[in-house]
Amino acid sequence: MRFNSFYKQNKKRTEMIKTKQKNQEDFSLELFTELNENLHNIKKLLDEPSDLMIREFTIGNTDHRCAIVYIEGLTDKLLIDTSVIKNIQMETEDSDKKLADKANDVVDQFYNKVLSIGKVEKVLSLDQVSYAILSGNTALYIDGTDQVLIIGSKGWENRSIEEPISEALIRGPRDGFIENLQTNTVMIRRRIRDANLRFKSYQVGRRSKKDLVVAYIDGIINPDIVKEVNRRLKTIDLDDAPETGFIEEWIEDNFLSPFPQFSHTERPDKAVAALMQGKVVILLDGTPFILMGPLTFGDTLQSPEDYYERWIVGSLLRMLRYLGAFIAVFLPALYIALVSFHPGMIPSKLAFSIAASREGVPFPAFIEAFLMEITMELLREAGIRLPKPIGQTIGIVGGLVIGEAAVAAGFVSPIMVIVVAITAVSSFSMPSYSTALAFRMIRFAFMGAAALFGLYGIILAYIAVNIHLVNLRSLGFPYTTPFAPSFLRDWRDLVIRSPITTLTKRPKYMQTDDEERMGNKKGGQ
Amino acid sequence: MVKKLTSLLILGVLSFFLTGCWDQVEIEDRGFIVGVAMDLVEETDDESDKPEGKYRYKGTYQFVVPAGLSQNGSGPSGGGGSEKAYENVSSTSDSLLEQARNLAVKMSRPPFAQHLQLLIVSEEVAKEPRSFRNIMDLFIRDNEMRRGIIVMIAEGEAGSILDAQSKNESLPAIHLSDIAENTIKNSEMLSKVRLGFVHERLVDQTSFVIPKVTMEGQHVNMTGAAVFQGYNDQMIDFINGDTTEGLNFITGEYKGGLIKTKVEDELVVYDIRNASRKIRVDVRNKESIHFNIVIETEGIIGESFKSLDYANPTVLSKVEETVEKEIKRKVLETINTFQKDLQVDALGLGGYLQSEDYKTWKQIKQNWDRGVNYFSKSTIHVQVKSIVRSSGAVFESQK
Repeated sequence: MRFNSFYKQNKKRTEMIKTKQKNQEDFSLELFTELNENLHNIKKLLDEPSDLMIREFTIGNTDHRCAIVYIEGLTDKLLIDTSVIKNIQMETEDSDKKLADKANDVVDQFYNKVLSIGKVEKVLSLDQVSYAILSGNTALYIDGTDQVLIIGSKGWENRSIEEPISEALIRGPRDGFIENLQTNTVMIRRRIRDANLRFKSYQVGRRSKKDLVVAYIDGIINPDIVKEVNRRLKTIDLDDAPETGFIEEWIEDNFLSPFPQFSHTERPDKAVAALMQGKVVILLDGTPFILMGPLTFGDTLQSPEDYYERWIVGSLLRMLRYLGAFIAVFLPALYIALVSFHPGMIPSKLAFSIAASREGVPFPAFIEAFLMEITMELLREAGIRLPKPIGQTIGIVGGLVIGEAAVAAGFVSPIMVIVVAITAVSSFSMPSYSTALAFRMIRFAFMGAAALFGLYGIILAYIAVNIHLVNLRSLGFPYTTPFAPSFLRDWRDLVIRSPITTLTKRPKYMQTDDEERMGNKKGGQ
Repeated sequence: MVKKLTSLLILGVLSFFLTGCWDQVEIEDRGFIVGVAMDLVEETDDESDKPEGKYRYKGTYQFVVPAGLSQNGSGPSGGGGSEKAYENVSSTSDSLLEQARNLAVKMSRPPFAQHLQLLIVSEEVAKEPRSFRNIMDLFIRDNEMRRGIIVMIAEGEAGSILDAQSKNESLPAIHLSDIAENTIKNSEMLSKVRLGFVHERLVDQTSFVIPKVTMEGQHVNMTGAAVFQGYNDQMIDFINGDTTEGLNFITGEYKGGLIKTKVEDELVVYDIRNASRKIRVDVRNKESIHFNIVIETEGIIGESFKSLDYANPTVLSKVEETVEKEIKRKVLETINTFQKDLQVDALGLGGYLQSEDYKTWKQIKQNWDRGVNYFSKSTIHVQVKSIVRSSGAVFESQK
């Protein structure tokens, strides 16, 4: 039997793993006073990788041996050469300088006098040493002591700061987060010089041990949010978190919902705006996308540009986006319902011309719409996968050729093509990609409901979605606030964006510690 | 157990899907009726045992042929350029619903009346006692019918009017209902009457008018109106375009038109842009009821065959005076027609009396425009005030 042989193989494998672990036990996970032993242990632990650098040398003109260990490429070589090796080798050149007698004192001497580096740390276990080396630091072993100095020498190649591709703006800062956590926190620091800006560090990933930082402004944020985020982050038990999406899914309130409960962004200005609203920001090493929470439905339809442009324009664009959201979700469903169930609700002349254009189309409206929507989704997916120059071709081939040919062949009606195109364009207008995805998804549910029960079905589905939305929580905050539960004051910055001078208070629904955003002085007239 | 439960659940969900779509009819599978015309065929045989109505009607139903509409577009059926966009189908029965059901036997696409625009009733039908009411019943009662359906009375045969051709509109019914919108340009037409209005009149028993439509060769003519007696909803007679114009002045439905006058023996045309009227009732006793109608119009000089100095106020007031005289003549003529010839109050004066002096109205309600006919006995005064706003784009066009 196949299953049996598989099981046997599996058994063999587990045995092999056991013997391997036994073989590894020719080294110890402890630190020794003997330098050679220590170096042997670290080599064995990492299985002598090619990028592991071990450099042994003597201190000054004495014969006391020491060694530095680091991973090549993860460290700033110049820093090690000039501030570590050079300093140590020069230490006892002058006759008045002497090396301490005991090795443990040498460590202190190095820490206090020799190493001209900001970040130096004493550690006492091999675990810490290997973690430090693997995260780009340099370990300094000194013969005769079991203390190891860890020198902060992280420095590797980074993507330079670029304009975020997924969130381009006409007006607004052009920098975007990158894959390096430290650069990202710096970008936030540079924008907020408040002593109350807090960065709390976490480590995620059993194996990857990635750095994760929770940022918030003490004194603005509701302390309960911090507590809750802390509690949820503590529960994370993953082998690796390649992207904040993993974190998001682990700590979100409802993982079955199609709607995102954290917003993500590549834009530091957006992150700062969230911090200022009393939200919490989660940064993860290795991804430019940060998480912001709690998220409300209103937030998903806002763009930072609303605030950068004049308020009238901002308000109009926001309303346009609400319209876009409505179209993206409802238009194909409404088309199906009206064409298949309620042609009496279409203006007469339009009804006749739809009937004329559907003349000879072999499918009912639902099948027609479903086919076209699926085609649209396929084109979109193909466009993302393909390299940029070809991606555009796909757009043209898909949009023009397939649409035109399908109509000419009598496969779909021209009006259906218009409906699908308007729907697609509307869903592109969503500022939040994950919300747009949610809308794309529930659009199909609405289409199904419309195909079964017409407008009545659409209303049923709408009620169902609403029930879900009002039940949804993001970090414990109601998703549909400030619509429901209603905070009238916050409506000033919801569908319309009131002038900045009138937005004197932070959102009420956030229940912040400090509500005042600005003084009562009127704007500069 | 769990398997059983899940299979039950799946079956439940599937049965839910089975019931779906029960009233789904794709838009291209519906037979859109846009116009209906009703003619009288004959009286039925009274001796028959079968339950039958008194008259047999011929209904002409205008169906839309969508393929004919897309002749200019690059529709899939393209090519058939000369195809008509409509098809008129007739059916004869004493019951209108039965007529509609009979159509389903003839047409591949079942009749669908939610886009019905136009209902034309022939003069013959309207003049038979009770017949107009009976025809209206289905259109008012049926849930597929809209209260916005335009109602017209045809002089002569109604069915043939649904064949009125037009180059602009491919559907005669749409063509006709669009013509009914043109009251801002021509005041000899009655503004369109909708089914809802007819329903109100059938219920409240006041007399009313419905636009008249006639075929003149290839074209239709929509001047004039049919006058209905309120208590039995029977048509009395047609009124001509002039009378209709006067009627529009009195009812306040005047949207725009022209008044031809003669100033110093030459034609001057006054183009009315705005008209309003006020009615006052003065009841001394029920034998002497006085109505005061004040009509105010505003307009420009549309055409002037005589070179007049329109910048001169005295010239203007002279023109205004002749215009006023002409309007007054028309209105008085209309009043005369209704009071003396037709003896029917389709002017809506009864309604004014009702709201102004309800006590008197209650006494004479039954004898307002029938029996003793207080309407005919009442006195109606007319005052006209016309203003010439400008002489058009120029002061003078010739010397």
